[in-house]
Amino acid sequence: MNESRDLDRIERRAYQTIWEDGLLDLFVGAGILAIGLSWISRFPVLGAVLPALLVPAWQVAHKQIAEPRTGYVKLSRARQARQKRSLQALALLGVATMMLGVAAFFFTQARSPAVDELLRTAIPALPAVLLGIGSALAGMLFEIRRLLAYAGLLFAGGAAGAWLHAGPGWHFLFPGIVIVIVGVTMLVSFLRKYPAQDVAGFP
Amino acid sequence: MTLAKPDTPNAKRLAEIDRLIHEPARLSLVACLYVVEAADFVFLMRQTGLTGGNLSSHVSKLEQAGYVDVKKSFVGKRPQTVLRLTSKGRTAFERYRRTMSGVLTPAPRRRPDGPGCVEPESIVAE
Repeated sequence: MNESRDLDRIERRAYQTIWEDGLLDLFVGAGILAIGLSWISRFPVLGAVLPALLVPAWQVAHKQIAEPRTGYVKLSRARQARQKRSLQALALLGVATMMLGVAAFFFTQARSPAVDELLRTAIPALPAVLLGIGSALAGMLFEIRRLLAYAGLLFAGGAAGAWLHAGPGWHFLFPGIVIVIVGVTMLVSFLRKYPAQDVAGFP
Repeated sequence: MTLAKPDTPNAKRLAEIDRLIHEPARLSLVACLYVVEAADFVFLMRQTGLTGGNLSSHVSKLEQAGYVDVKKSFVGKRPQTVLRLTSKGRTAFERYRRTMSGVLTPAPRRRPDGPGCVEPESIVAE
């Protein structure tokens, strides 16, 4: 029915306002950069810890920056349940990715001559590809289409890194920088579009 | 907009329409609250495009009818007014949807050169 579709559209629009401030992009990009830089600096554990800290940091930033401008909304119970399931699925994938990534990093340190060429090319790109899969999955689960584009960037970063025989970590730099730039651009545009509301509320 | 004759069932249905919800700004407001659990004043202003004063006046009417629950609080130093649809308001909106669906049921398409009913889409669009 048309009216049901219209209500769905209203609900989706209400939901989408949460993600239009650019903060998500900024934090996703920062997380990807953190992973890359921690690998380059040969301290991969930091790359596993820092992205996890970005989730509460995003929540605080959203509350401080976005809510005074676009308001607060508590989503419907159905949407909240769906989001919870999506987060659980992503958390599982994230843990698996990080474990695989850290293992891959230590594996590449073994410097076995027989598989050295393979390690230098394909395996360092694997975390970027896995993160890309995670990004694509998040994009579909949370209905944020640009995460699909970020997945494409991560795949491209992984492929380019493998082609250039780059070490682990370098694959994340290009996608991370691009996503941070997108986030900053979106945030600036959001702040211009929505000045902080001086309306206190219902008198 | 083409309406049914007064003695038809559609006319009776139309007479039963909840005019408190039927007003366009309030309909937009109630529909927005219907699809979420709760929302604050600023969010509703952004979503409905209403000004603060307009929104206040519509919220007052809905609150008086018991359709909307209004809670005021502070987030830090910032005042926040959170609204949610009460079960009475939710039921009223569902009843309104049913009534309107009944009134605007799809009718046969009219040929451009011939007599007959107008297309239901055009009724909704109006």
